[in-house]
Amino acid sequence: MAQLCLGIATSHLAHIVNARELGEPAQVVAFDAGYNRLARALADAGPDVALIISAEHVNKFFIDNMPAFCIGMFDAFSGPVEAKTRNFGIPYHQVRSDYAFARYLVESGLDEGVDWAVSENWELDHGFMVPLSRLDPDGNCRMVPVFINCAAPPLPSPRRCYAVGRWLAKAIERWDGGRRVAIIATGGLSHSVGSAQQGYIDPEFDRRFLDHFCAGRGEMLAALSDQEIAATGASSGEIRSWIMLAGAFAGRTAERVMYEPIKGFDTGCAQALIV
Amino acid sequence: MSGLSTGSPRYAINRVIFDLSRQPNARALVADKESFLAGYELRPEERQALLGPEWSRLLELGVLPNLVYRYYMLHGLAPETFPAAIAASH
Repeated sequence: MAQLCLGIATSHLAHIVNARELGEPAQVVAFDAGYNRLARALADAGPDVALIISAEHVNKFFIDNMPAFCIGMFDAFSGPVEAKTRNFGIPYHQVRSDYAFARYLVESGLDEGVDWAVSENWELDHGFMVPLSRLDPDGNCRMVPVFINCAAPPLPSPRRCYAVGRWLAKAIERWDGGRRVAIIATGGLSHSVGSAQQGYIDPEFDRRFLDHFCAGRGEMLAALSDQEIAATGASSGEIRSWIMLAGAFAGRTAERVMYEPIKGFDTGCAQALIV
Repeated sequence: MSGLSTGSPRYAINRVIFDLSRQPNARALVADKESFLAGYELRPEERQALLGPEWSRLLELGVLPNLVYRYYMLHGLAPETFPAAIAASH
């Protein structure tokens, strides 16, 4: 029986590694301090493997074949894909993964109604690679990437993301070997990339979302509608990763590590920890 | 682009930008968009919005926001100028 030992949630924007000067210095310091806090928690927990759940920004997944959810099934992946064509602030590099664990989740899901798509060759983008560069810079932990379609509607509903998170917890607990598993969710909170709203942040929504998340009221997050989320920004749908994490730790409270609406980063930046 | 139109109202115009962004010489191709677009089956209003470029019109035509932004960046424009460019193109 494996143990779900840690939950981490963080915004994943790349400004923190390649456009730091655009942020208000005190807010950037708070964001850095939050990353340091999360990285220490990950190191202290010492998981054997972690799931990292994120949106993807139409770099790999396109509307010719768009899954709602996908697991990377391999022993290593590379990224950020953006660093192949320009200076991105972190180098293109390889991260260790865990084929056997990913395959276990896929096989269990296919048998139990969570019909994962699978990728065995995936260059990850900043949604995964930026947080990893701050949370586990030495690559001590194997990471299994989990994709949620948050970019090309129709999107999986918050309720479905929550249910998949609930299922993940049960599947992880059944996994043999007595290993320790962490889950990292990245993305959000309110922001709009590439839309007429770009630059708009909705701190009121973000704080309400964080209140529910940290109080263990995941059901309230699962009840959010597509329209409610979309009204806070074209890219706010990335909070689906947080909702999946809330499902995995259903009812558990979380520590609010930081929240800063960083105007220069165009994003309500947030971090939380479930220990 | 190979094959016939899929009938999806947004597929081809998204495909153009997705394909373009994956070319190693994408920025050079942007300088001659007419040639690049010749390989795609597009409606006249889609072609016009891409050639303009008409940023808000691209969104109206169903281009995913991430791809609108990527197309903007491929034009060598500064990220912080995007909101004003969108507003000006309304």
